[in-house]
Amino acid sequence: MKKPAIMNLGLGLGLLGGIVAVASLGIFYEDDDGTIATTGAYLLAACLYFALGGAFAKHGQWSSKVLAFMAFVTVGIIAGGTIAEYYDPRFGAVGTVIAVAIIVIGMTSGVKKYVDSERTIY
Amino acid sequence: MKADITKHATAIGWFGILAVAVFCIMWLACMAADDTWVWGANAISDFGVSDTDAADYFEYGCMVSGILLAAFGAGLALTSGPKTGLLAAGTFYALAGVCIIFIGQYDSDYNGGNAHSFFAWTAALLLLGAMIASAAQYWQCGKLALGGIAVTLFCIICACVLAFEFEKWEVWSAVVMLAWTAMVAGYQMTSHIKRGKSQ
Repeated sequence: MKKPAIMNLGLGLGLLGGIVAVASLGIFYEDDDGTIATTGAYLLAACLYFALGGAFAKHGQWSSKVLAFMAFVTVGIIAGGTIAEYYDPRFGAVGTVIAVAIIVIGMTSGVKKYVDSERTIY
Repeated sequence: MKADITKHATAIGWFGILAVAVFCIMWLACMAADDTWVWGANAISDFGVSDTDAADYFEYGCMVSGILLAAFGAGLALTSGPKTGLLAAGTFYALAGVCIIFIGQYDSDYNGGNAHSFFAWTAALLLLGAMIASAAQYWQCGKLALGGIAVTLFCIICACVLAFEFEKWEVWSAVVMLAWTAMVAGYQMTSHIKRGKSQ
């Protein structure tokens, strides 16, 4: 089965989200008592975005349901982390939009069919 | 003639919507009556021991919204059919509704506050259980968007619990639970309307 073109957008958004998360760690870094927790939160976001990006690769690691679940977890962590003041609101806004876009792409019928199909590694 | 509760499934959803609406109106009325209450610094239960009319609003508001939530939960459980997750969610909502009635009745000053704490924590855990059970059922039925929203809301609660003091994460959790209960009630109404039209 041919890989839908929109999956490249999902892959790109995942990579972009990870890069934005790591960049935000540096841009919004503040040296105070909660630095370790904040740093961990940004790195967690980066991991999640890179994993989501990988799920849209040709031989991605997840089924469509797991992909959707992880995308919603990512939105939750970004939104929750922003409300809980771990993330800067600007990163929270950008991160939430990227994650929602990934959810939308992941839930299109073409992507679901491809992700759940038998993908043989040659 | 045999009564068929599934014919009233849409009406049951209204109980949930009204429970949420009454709680929100009660909360707003309490905030208007007691201007010393501060978001994030005071718990919702502090309205129950207020020196203003907020104490009465809180007591009666909890009673009414608790009754409505209990009715919604009972109806959800009875119309769940083979869906175990909705049966569990409905049961949890019904019991949480009963606990909310007692939260209003026993304020945090009554007998050292133990009764109030018991019913408050029980209601919170039951509402969380209802959220998880309903979300799991929706996920299993292929309603990934609805189940996913619950996942997102759960993550928000977890983040708030980790980051904030009790008073602040309590109010955020209450907002999340109100939103989720409204979604479950709304879905209960719309899914049965769709089913009715196709029959």
